[in-house]
Amino acid sequence: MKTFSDEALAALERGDAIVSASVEIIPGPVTTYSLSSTTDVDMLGADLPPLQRSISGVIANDLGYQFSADPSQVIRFKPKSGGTYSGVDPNSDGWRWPLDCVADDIATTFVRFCVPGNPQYGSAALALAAVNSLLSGGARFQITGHSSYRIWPDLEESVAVLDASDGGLSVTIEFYDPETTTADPIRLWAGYGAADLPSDEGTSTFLGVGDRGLVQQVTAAVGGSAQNLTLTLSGIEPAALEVLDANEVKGAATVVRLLIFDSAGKTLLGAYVFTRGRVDEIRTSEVVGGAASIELAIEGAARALGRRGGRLRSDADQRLVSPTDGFYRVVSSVPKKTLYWGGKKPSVAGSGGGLLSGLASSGAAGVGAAT
Amino acid sequence: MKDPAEMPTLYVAQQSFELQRVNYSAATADGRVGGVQAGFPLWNAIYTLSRMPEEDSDDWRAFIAGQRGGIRRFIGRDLARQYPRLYPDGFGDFGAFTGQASSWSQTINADDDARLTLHLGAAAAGLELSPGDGIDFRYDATEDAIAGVPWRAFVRVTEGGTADGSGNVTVTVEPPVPDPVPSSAVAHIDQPGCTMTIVADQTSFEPVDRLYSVRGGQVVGVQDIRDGR
Repeated sequence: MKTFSDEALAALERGDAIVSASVEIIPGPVTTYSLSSTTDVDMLGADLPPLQRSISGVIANDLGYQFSADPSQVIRFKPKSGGTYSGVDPNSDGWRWPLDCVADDIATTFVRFCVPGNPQYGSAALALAAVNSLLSGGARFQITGHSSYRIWPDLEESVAVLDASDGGLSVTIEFYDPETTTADPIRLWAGYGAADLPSDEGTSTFLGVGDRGLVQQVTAAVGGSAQNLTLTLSGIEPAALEVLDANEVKGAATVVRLLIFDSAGKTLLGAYVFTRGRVDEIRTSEVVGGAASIELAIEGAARALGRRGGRLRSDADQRLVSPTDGFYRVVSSVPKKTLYWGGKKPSVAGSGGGLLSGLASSGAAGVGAAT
Repeated sequence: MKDPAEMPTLYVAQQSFELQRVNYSAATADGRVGGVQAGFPLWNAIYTLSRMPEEDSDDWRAFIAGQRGGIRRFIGRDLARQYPRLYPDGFGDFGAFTGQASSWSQTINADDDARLTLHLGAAAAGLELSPGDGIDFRYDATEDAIAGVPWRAFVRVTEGGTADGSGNVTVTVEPPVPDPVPSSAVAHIDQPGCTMTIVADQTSFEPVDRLYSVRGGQVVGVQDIRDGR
């Protein structure tokens, strides 16, 4: 429940307030694990670096993820000379590394990551995976299993190329958890200039984007599905734009606050959390001859709650939980029956007259009436 | 960014230079309608041009062309009040005073009015500011993309005042001086203006006729506030 201060409430009641909004995007920490090898890398089995085991242990067991492989997500790199690649079935269960890499077909050798997906709601987002060239630092690309099941679209573009003469393969794996935050947040507000405003850290400096329409929310009908909150960011300072890297903020925790100023616009009477959510997607809008803007869609908790899970009301699904549980064994053959609880019963064949039809038309449950 | 350009000032037949507020006109539970506004007010200028000689027509067309739509900025002025109402020809009666204040300060009173005090110097003793007079604040922007670019913010007097023997005058202004304006900004009452950007889709010229000048046109600008702290 939002609690307005007396001053803010009084200003709103009098109708002499200026409202504004602030946005705080809080990327999670990037915990980096690095492993490197100067020899052929056997990423599975006995030679598997301990890190890889611990990663799969965390993902497969501790957080209870269900994996879904996406063979279209391919990372290509040139492996160390002399290595061999024997391929990986991306549809196997769990997180797999390639066994090792071949040098004879450098242009097409590839590894496949089983892309984690479908994390349980409320769990931390999954790992970012990065491959770094030993020489140049390489390209960094990300695979993230977001609760919206979205895989990074530019994965194919971010290809790290390891020179075959490199001493080996270096892999950096970064864990990205928006539920704990150590990275520098991005803080913007809809006014002009920099301002010290309430934040999750107490008070922080927010950059002004000067856009009255910073926050837009499609009004949802009562009982309807929750709508995303859309932030339209334009005229952003280049310094702020640099940190607004879509790859880094996707899935980031976001706090949108409503700011109530006095009518002079000088005194902040109150700042209240309007929405807490996660960055869903970032879209750039560039229309020739029109405005260019960045739209940030924020998924609130309500919308995430509406996401269906993986369960089905079927006998097969229930048997997975308990092989002897036959609760849903007859669900496919159970007939349907419509019950009218109050309200006007639709006209049916039994509405001609008589005691029973009279009872039915009075709004009583239609059970027993002719249907 | 190129420094904001000076706009031509001649052959403006009509002008609207007013504050633009986005007012929600929020109705309260007791039935009264209040004014809850979205964001801070901005100055909006609409200049309607008349027929003009060829030279001035060229000046206006060159000015608009140089603005490159909304890319560059210009100094928008209230052309109906380039000097205080009581001194339309300048400050010749005040000796060395040319319109610049040595310092200024602002307080918000109990009514949420902005009370601006200008220190004009002893030469301006007795100078009177009237409602509608303009005051601008000139400073260099500090935002990364435009660092060092000269910038201006503008306020308009709503309740006037008379400078005392030291040249200090306190007036009520609207809007309150925006927070991005640094305290080191220099306040001026001579030809005040504010940094604006052209609203391209509302700015146009009428065709050039046989007199080789535009038959008129409309130039619309909206204030651009930038940080100078």
